[in-house]
Amino acid sequence: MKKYQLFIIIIIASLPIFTFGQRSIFFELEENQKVLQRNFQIIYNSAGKLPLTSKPDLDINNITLSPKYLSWVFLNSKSNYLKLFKPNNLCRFTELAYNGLINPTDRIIFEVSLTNSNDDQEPVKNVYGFFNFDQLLTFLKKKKSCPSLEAKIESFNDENLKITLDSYELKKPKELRDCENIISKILDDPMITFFCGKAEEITDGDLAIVELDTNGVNLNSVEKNRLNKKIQRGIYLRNKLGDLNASLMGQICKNLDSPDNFCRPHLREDLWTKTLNGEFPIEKVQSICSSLTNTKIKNKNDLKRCANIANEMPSSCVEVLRQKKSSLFPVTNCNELSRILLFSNLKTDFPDCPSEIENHLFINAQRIASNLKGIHQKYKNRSCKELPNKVYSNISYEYDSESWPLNICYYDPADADEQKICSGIGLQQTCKSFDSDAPLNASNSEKSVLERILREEYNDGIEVNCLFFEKRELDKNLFGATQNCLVYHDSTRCDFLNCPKEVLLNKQKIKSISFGKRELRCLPYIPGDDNENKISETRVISQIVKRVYAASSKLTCKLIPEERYNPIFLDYKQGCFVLSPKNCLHSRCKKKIIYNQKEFKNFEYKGELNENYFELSSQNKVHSMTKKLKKVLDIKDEKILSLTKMKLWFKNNNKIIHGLGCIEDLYPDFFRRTVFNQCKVIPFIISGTSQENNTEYVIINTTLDLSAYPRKLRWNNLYNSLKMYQHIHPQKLWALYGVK
Amino acid sequence: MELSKVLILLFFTIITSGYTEEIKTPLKPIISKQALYNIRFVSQDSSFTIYQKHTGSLFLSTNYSIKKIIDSDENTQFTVEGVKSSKYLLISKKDGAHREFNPNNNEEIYLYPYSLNGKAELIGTGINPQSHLNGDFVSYINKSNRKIYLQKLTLPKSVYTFSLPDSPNPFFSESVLMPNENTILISWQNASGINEIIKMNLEQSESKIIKKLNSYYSKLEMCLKNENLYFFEASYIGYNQEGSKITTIDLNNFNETTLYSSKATDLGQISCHIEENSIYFIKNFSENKKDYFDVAKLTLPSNKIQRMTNEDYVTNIFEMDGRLIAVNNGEQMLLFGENSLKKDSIPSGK
Repeated sequence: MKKYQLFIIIIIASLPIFTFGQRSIFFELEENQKVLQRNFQIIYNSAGKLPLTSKPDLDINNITLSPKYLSWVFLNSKSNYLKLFKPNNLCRFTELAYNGLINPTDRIIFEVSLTNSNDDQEPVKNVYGFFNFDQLLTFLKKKKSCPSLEAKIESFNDENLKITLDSYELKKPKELRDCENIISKILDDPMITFFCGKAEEITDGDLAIVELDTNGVNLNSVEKNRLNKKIQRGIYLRNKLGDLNASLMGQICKNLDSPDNFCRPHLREDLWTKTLNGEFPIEKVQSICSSLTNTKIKNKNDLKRCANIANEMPSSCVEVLRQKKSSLFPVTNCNELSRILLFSNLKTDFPDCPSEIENHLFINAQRIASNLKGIHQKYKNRSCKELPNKVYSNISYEYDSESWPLNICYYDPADADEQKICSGIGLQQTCKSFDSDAPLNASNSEKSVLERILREEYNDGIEVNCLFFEKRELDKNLFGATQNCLVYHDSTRCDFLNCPKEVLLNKQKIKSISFGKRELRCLPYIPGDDNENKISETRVISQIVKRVYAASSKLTCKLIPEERYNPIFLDYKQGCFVLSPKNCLHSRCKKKIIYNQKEFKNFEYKGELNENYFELSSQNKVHSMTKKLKKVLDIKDEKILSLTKMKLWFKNNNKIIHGLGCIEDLYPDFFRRTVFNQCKVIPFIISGTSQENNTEYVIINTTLDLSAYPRKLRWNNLYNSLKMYQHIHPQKLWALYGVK
Repeated sequence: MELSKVLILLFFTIITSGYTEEIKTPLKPIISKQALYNIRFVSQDSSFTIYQKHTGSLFLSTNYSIKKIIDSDENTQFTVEGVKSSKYLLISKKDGAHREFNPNNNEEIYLYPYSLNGKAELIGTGINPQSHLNGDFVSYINKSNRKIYLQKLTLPKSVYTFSLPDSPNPFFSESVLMPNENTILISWQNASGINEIIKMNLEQSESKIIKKLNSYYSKLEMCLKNENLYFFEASYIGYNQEGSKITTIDLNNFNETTLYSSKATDLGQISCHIEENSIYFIKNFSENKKDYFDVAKLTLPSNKIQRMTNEDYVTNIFEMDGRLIAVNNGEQMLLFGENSLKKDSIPSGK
């Protein structure tokens, strides 16, 4: 880096304007870095002997910035602002330093011409002296040497900054001439150093975000504070000036030498370049760009790489999705996608994988909650599979925890272990208890209780003797057993909690006998892992394991993929693990619980989160998803009955419209209607409208599409899909609502 | 250029691009005794109707008699398909239609005799059920285990399964045809995302790709008619890869002949069984870059194309036991067949 700057300095110094007094700086700059440092050290020490504040009568004409000092300063400053330096112009040097465009050292070193005022014959004595920066400012103010400096400072203070910047009337260039005009206007502007100073503060803020992201863990608190201050300052300025102004300032100051470079990205109209130019927030393209570049998009360099890939290889947007295999395919290429996304307001900065979600109601609920309330931010480390269920489960639980349907039920050894045998059907059914641990011949054993029921109710009081066995032995016992009652179970359907059995009395099947399940304790749970939620699935399981095994009160069960669990490794030898099966699409699929390498099987999941998307009828007691979302997230909605209303909705800065429609009408290309009144219902979100070739389009994401890949759909297709769904809805609902 | 050459060129262009004659037939509203949205199936001669009440259950209505076929609740949606030549109607039952959304979720599939003598019999769970060879075979797809099931319903009964490729589109709609009882044709998307048609021999477990597209931007449909296999291929709408065509293939030597081609991207949805010598499909009659989708008829063997509707925005066409129905402006309208779905004559008592 230093060598590169040295080269720049040499080039700049070779220009005729860069001559200092009688000696050319070129000579000094030819020296290598070490020579420059040695020279600087010598003059630094020498100047230390003469603080110029000790010369109250010092005339401005008697001091000149030392070329050796300038060489050192330039070497340690950003190269792109060196051309703003004007030789023999102390005011410009001061402005550059004031705005942080060059790095002056603690001592600003001057060559000082000292004469004895009493004796004109005394030869002039050249020595080195110094001011620190504040002293220099005071000196210049006192001598009125830079009369415009104070006015410039005032124009660019926080109070006046917006007005000053507005006076520049910065506009996005449309052709090369615009770029040349802007650059030339700024170069001619006497306040250029202040203009670029503010641009640098904004850029520093952006860079600080990157540094904190990439290197945050290695930084101490002082360094972190320093970066945080820069970030805050950058955000403050960006908010004050607006994204476009802030972005243009940075690009102008970075390309003062090259209007071409400044212009290039602005002449492109694609989303990727527009985001690079700061016209859109980075979140808008983050998901796609992260896939295209295979890295998380953090800064402008990443964005630039993304824009290059997207523009040079438009099919790459299709290719990345082809490999994901998680949504409707094919999708549009980068060019078309860019055009569509320019009309879309939808947030896409969350993980997304529709094919992994069993019920797409959760996908749309989460997308609505994320778009209107940014709720996905609360669940930053959730996988694409977990996020929709997690977000919606929490909303639904918050709406009405009393009638929450999901429970984990387990057998508690402390409970009385009483099971039942029932005979009869419906209201005629009567049940008798037995003790599963009682000896076979005891009067309260399963065998004795069953024999008693059969004798009294099915065998006219004749003695019954039952033989219990596994279904495999049925043939053998049907012909060989001497007992008049055969009771068998299917080992594949029988476990500790529930073991259905078939009863044959005198070789006739008794269908009205049933064996009750064990009594279980049930605890409500919200699917998934969430340490902060006391009824999260893992915390409830931890609670159960603690109770059943009298385990430590500090025990925490960890949710891990089943394939990762390997008891050979030390990490898994002790503790509690909840193993999630690989191909588990729905939230209620049964997981394995392992405690100290032993599987706990005596539990089951009960209940389903079955909620209608919209209210199905006034009699239906289950509250709909939309009703819950409205109450918990304080969302307002409005029915959208026409395209005009839809356009008006977006015109009033509202973000999204959601609904239900038949996929056969939305995407007839992918899903064909084959029978009368067929409608595969699918939720969707509309995030914009557009008009092309006299055709009205809506920008749509069904739940089969990733959020980052909206599609352009003719209004007629949407209308047909709503109308066809309306036909089959019990209340004939027009299922299209704007939400805000 | 000489005039004669211009004329020859013009003639050649008309022949190759598919000359379109306009016979615009107005779509007819469908007349029925039932509320139209309750109807799930009406037989060709309108002698029976299968309908779903708003409370959920599925009923059979014949003249002067109503019978419940399958009981259910208001959150259930039934679909019914069948043709007179088939022994069975296929009924799909989707529970939780207004609360569980995923086109890949399995539905219960029932057989119901077209003769109406008997009960609905559950034969499996899956999606896209199709009846083949007059109801001797039934196929359906189970997306959760990525398999196609083919059940032979005649004695001796048997079940064949075929694994689906791990395609880029998990929501792809596969379709199945059976030219004869030993051969099955499957249209699917391969692991690269390309649509192709596989021919499998049930006896020898052999398979062969008989049609494969060049690009994953293109879609492929197929239909069987008089033992001839017809294909429709076009790019998905909006993918800037223009061109559509209808071809036919000889299943013995796999020679393919183009019957129709167009530079516009048609919607397709070819319907082969409405008329003996024609294929209906949705064609793009674009003008000035604006797409207009209407029903067209390809007459065989002259390959003449006729525009049948003038609605501009037809999104679907489908067959219902001899009728051709088009969806336009959110309404199902009749294009071919009897538009009255009611038959008031007193049954003969046979």
